[in-house]
Amino acid sequence: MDKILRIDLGAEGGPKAYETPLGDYSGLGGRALTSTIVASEVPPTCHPLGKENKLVIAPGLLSGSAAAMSGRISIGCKSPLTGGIKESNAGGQPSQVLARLGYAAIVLEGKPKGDDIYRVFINKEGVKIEVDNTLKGLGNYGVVEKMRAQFGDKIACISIGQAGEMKLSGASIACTDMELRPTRHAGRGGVGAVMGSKQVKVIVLDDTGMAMRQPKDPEKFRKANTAFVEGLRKHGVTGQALPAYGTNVLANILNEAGGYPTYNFKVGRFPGTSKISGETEAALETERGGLATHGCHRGCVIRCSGIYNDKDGHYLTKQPEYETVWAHGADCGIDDLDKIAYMDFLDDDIGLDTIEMGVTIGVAMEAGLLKFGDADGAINLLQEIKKGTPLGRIIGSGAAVTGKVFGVERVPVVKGQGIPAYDPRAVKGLGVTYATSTMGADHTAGYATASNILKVGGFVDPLKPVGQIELSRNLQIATAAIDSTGMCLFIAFALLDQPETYQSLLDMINAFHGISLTSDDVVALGKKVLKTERDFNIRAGFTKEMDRLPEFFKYEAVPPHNVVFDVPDEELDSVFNW
Amino acid sequence: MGTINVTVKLFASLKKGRFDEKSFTFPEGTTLSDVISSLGLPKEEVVLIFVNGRHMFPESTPSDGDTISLFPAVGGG
Repeated sequence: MDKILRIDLGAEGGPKAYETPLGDYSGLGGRALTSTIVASEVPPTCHPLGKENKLVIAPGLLSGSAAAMSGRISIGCKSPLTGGIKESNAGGQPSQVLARLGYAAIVLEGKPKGDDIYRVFINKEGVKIEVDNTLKGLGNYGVVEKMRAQFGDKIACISIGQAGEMKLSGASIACTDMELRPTRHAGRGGVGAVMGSKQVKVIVLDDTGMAMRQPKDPEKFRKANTAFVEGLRKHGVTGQALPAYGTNVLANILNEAGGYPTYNFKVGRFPGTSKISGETEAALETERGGLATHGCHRGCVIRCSGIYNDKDGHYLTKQPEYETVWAHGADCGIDDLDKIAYMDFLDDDIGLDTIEMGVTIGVAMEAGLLKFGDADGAINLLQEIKKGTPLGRIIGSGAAVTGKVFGVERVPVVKGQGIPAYDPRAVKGLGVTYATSTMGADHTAGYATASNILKVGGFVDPLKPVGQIELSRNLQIATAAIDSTGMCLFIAFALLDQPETYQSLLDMINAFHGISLTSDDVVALGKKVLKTERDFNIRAGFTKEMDRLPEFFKYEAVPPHNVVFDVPDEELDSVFNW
Repeated sequence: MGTINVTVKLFASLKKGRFDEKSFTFPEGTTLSDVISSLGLPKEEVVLIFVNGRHMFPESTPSDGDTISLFPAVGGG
């Protein structure tokens, strides 16, 4: 992992691949690498779909090694949805495979002439970029099937569906899972539209003949990895709840806590929650011969995913995540798990961010385009996107655009990005993260639900403004650092409660790279990443006035606790003053 | 001494072999900790206690008509 693969799509005579050394980017991985490259090489005022934008795909510092949980990939660019910097993070196989191929990152740059679309194939022999117009208009499942037929099943794919080809701001980038299905997505921020603007439909990775990355100190690394895995297995969240019920175990708890946004953020409890909860979902998966416990990549020991079969026992989609079930479920007043799972499949196939789509359909329901609870109507809207109709393109452009087109005031977005599955009035720490994150409304950027609701890493009362700034700040810093390692963010549940598990992660990084990183260094790395991203956003024209929630959260109290978002603006402006 | 009527809801692993939702009558002054013990729930497994949607500690005492929701360690996101 000492080189960067660059593909200049706009080169004279057609796209050309070339390699550059890591140089100044040495020692960086994942989000630290994508954000640093974007901040140094992309003009902040450029058009996100223009030739000056770059799409950076980077495994983490430990990806491709034997380190458990190290299969996350970061995809960065200037976002067409927010207009700011973006790092969208996904699981699946590509991170490990790309790292074993020796690349710290792939950078797609420039813009092709003409309207051909390209397929990129990378193996130990090198890189092949070929025109493949037979892929035009295909969904992600169709693309991957064609790649399997052509290159066999020992591959991993990074692809876009119809939404990415249409360059819609809700478009995701799909990464294949262990079963070679395009189910793990870099969902947020419209990264798929940027890949579409480069006219690259799929990147196929084959690491046949490449060895696992080897640590500098194998014995120390092995011991640290063992301790790390033990730590994850003994924590109640990473060892029991996530494997047994998946991420959607949160549905009941957020509902009980009154922070489960329902009917486009009107109320904090959904009457149909028990029908779409993680407990119900896991039982149904098992009953239908699917799987309630399944990893998204090799080397995962938490295994929070699963396989969701239809009524006849046939594969429908991977286990829809908490955010997806919420977005297509409670936020739209829909309590039919099979229809929600079908929407998850459609999102994966068309290549759409499930959070953005659910939030957008909720806004369309608020506008009266369809009724809350109309599952078939919601499915039809996704089909409109697939067809590329004018209405479909509006919906596929996200909640902010859809709200404007239909004259809706109550549009839950920050910096143009849809607010996820935790009401910021009843989970105020997360409200601070939504408002201030460099990414727009993003729960993963500083997951205050941990201490606000789950009592992980301490407890800060979710219904009071006090303590939320510090909580969000510390989590945003820690997250930026974890996102740079290639580690799944869910390790944080164990890290926050068990200092020895945190130490084993540091030991593992140090043994692998032959360095001596301390926890102060980790904090410094997180701060540096955030500062780099903030600086890009400021140069792109962002001001502190954009670090705010939509104003209805300030004056519209959400039942059952009847609370508003009351963290003062001046305090929001202090999040990055450390 | 009077009594209180409360509704208890169990979630995730706590409801296995028990119940989803049930009403109980307890003497006034009963603590949440007492409620948990009376249901045969291992204390260390009950990580989150909500009363009417608000976090509460085991030593607090519920009132008549309260809904008590109990969870093991859970996470996601």
